[in-house]
Amino acid sequence: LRRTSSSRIRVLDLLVRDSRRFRDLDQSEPDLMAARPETSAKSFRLARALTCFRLLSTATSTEYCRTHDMSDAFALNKQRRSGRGTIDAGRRRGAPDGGEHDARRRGGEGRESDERPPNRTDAAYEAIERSIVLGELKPGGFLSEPDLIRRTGFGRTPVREALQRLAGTHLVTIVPRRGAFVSQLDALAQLPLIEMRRELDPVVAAAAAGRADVASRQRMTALVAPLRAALATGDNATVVEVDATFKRLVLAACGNPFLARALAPVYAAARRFYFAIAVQPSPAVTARHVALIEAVAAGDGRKAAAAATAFLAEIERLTRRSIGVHAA
Amino acid sequence: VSASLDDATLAQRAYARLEEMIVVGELAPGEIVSEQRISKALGIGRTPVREALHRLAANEMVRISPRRGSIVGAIGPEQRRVLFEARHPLERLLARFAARHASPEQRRRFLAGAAELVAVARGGDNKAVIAVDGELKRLLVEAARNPLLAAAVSPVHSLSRRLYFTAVARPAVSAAAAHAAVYRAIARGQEERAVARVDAVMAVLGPLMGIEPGEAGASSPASSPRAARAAVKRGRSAALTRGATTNTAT
Repeated sequence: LRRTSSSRIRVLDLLVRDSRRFRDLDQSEPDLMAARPETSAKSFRLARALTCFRLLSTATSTEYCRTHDMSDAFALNKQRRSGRGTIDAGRRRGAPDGGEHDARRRGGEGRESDERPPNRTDAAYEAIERSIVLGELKPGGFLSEPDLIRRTGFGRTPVREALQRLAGTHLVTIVPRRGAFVSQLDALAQLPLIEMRRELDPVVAAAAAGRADVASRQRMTALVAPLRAALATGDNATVVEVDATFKRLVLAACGNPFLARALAPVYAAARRFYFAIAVQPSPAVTARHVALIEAVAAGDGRKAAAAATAFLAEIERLTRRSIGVHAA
Repeated sequence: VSASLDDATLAQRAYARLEEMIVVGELAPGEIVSEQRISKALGIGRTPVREALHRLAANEMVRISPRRGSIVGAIGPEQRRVLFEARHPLERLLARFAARHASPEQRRRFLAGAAELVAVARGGDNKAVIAVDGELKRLLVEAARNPLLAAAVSPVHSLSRRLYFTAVARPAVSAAAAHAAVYRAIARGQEERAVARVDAVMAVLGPLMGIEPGEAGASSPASSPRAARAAVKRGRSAALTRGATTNTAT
């Protein structure tokens, strides 16, 4: 490690210089950069590599990861457009216990793994999805593009593309001539979703267990501690975040874009419903959740499929109980 | 907002047209689809065409390369394998939901369609088979009344149809008959039977479309035990058949 450290610093310096140049350009000439996607992509790659190097040297510093992470590239963008706090920052303030998990998750984003490199549409999608799941954007609420652009800090194109995709995942409903609305939260629609998962979850869990690369396995394993911590502190927002990260990793690792596409909206709806009904994390659900994460990370297909079925049974119990309560 | 919605409708039209061109091979695998050319050919603006291409990319029909544009995807062995891996559970769900939710009118159409499918397959006209099959698949998705499942299955059906078109020169009567059995079970509202019939369809289709026997399970060794275990867990004998067919084929 020591042997490579001097060359690492040299590379780091080069990366810092180049990425600053591109970032400055991105800031001063947004239109130029938008017109040249390859330049923009290069600046993003540099920023990513830069973060990766920084993390190598400061992997232990949670605080550092929290403030200097991959969202830097996006944060710049946000500041440029809004000058006010981001959804991300708001969520962190709201859930201080999520900090460590945030850092771990972000820390992984610099490494090579199964996951596609994130782009602006992905990031805008995730930001809006999170706001919907956590109820910051209310069911039935109107979504205006300018408001979302201000809120997320992303430009018109990523926001529009994210809205299209959100309509595809049914979190957003587009009404002709009127615009986009946050979909209503439909308790009764949850049971068919669970029926779908009964068929699909074991397949995707087994596939991910068989095909995940080392980096994703490590990132999955790293989710167990924050999940347990969230159970201890009763922090459901973090549970939802951890679950979102885990599901993203599983869907990327399963190596089957068709299954990933089938399940992404199902999982988004499930998270939203869970956050709406669950007052605090339950030990039973968390135990099954942890077992599932560990089985997939361990690469045991049979065990992962069984764990997925067991986790789902727990979710189904929770859902049925809540629907019963709501109906009464 | 209204401008963007008009774009959305146009994008849908562009999508449907482009998909059809890819399914029947008018646009060949590896061909580069230029936004400009398509826009001109279809008489639809570039923005909706771009949106359609993005949706096609999401459906695995084209790949978007930042430098070269959109490239019609080839269906390699790896993609065939994941396509089948996804298709099997999705078809089981479609059959189950359709058997449960189909209206009397839809059930009648399933019965009539099943008979027609076998008849056109016997007649030997592949284009007619594709047309009737497409009609039945639309009916199936409609009858299942599950928008998320419909969205999930749309790329799977597109690619499967494309695969069928390229893999099968003459209609396969065995496949048509197996499909017809699913549709009849749906028409009668027999959920479990319909699901079991789907397992039979997949067993016929695999070899037909160039999925090597056992290939579906090759890279996920847990496949058969998984199916068996799932069957024990859920008490569904159908999943056992799935595992068993893979083994017999080997």
